[in-house]
Amino acid sequence: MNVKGMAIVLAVIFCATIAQGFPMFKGGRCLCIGPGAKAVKVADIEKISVIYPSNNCDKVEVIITLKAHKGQRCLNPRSKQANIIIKKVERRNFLKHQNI
Amino acid sequence: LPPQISERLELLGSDPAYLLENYSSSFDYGGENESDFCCDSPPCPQDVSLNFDQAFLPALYGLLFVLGLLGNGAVVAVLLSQRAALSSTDTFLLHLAVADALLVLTLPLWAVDAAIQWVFGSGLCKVAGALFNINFYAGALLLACISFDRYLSIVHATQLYRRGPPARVTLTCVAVWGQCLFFALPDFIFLSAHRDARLNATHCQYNFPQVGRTALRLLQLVAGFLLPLMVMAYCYARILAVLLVSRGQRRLRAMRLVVVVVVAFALCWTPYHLVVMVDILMDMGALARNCDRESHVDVAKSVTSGLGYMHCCLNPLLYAFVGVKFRERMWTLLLRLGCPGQSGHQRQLPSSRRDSSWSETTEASYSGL
Repeated sequence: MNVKGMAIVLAVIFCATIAQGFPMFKGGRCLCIGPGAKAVKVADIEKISVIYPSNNCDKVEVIITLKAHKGQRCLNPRSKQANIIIKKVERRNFLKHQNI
Repeated sequence: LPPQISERLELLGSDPAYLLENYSSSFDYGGENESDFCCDSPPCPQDVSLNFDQAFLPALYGLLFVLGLLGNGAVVAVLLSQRAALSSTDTFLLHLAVADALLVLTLPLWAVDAAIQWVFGSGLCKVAGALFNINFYAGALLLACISFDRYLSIVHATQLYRRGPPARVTLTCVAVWGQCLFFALPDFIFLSAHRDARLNATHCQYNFPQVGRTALRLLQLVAGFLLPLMVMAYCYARILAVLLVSRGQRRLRAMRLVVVVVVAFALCWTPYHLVVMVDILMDMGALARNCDRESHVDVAKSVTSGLGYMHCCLNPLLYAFVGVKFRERMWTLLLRLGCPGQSGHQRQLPSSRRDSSWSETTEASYSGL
């Protein structure tokens, strides 16, 4: 009875090892909360970051840094503008890799 | 495109405007609020929890490294010096001390990781991560073994380990270590040095599909904490029940130790698992995401996991240093180290008690019966 109980405990602990939550193995959380802005004025854009899904965040995130220290914005990745941005950025990245 | 996964692509300077120039007219701004252009959804600032980790974790890991190595090293030295006279609980204690020492041995690597980033490459990431987890689970299993051993001997008066061949204890320990090595397989497979686009740094991370992560972490909460705690609580509750009806001088002392052992485990690991539970709730969407809340959870996780690791440094204090004979033996060892010429004198002191075990807990367990 006790041996059986211990065996069950060990088996479940084994399953648990697959998922570790210790801070040393932590990955970055999703940066954006909520759906995000639908569009940003193109003239205000200083920098565009497209961040792909990683271990800890399964979303594509588009973060726009605005000129004149107006801060950063999350762009809704499903919006029209974001789609165009993602396509352009990917294409540009692809070409860059081709040239090198 | 596979090579672009978890990458961060950026456009700077005049590029964005140039790139989007021809498209700006095609955006349908009609009917949208002003808020779509200005004040909506800034990303969460990461610096609060990152700055905290950068300062707090290296200091904590350094302290635990020194304390854990000294305490567990002393336990290993004392127990090894009396190898022939070790009881079953002492043998488990020896393995527990080795596990704790090996765990704190990896802490300097994680201190550098927290302060800067993971600079040691994927190979060392796998090895250090596996070593950490092997010894984390070895510690939990050995604590369970100790409580089970005592439960059998006191409640059922079954001397599973005491009278049987010493090979049985060794076999149990080999099984525990084998199990922990098996536990570490996912670490060897999934851990690697990984450029995290959101943290903007390289870290030792699990290359894990997102699916099922929450379910597995729930499982860790139940299995890695609640079940071991329940096993310990059950074994020690039955022991307490026996001690309560028995008579003997050292009964109270033995009971106090039993309570302290369980309470220490619970106190060290409960806060961490509570924080992880909040984290899981946020992941599942039961608690709304919120930048402040997330950074508070991250900071709390760092602090409470440190409390959990501190249990490694507590084990020598709880299980070994409380024992009078253990302290005697350690002073003898220290004196012998200090003045090698006098070793002949000192050896006589402990040899008169060779028949009994070296740890107070074992001694206490059998007292009062």
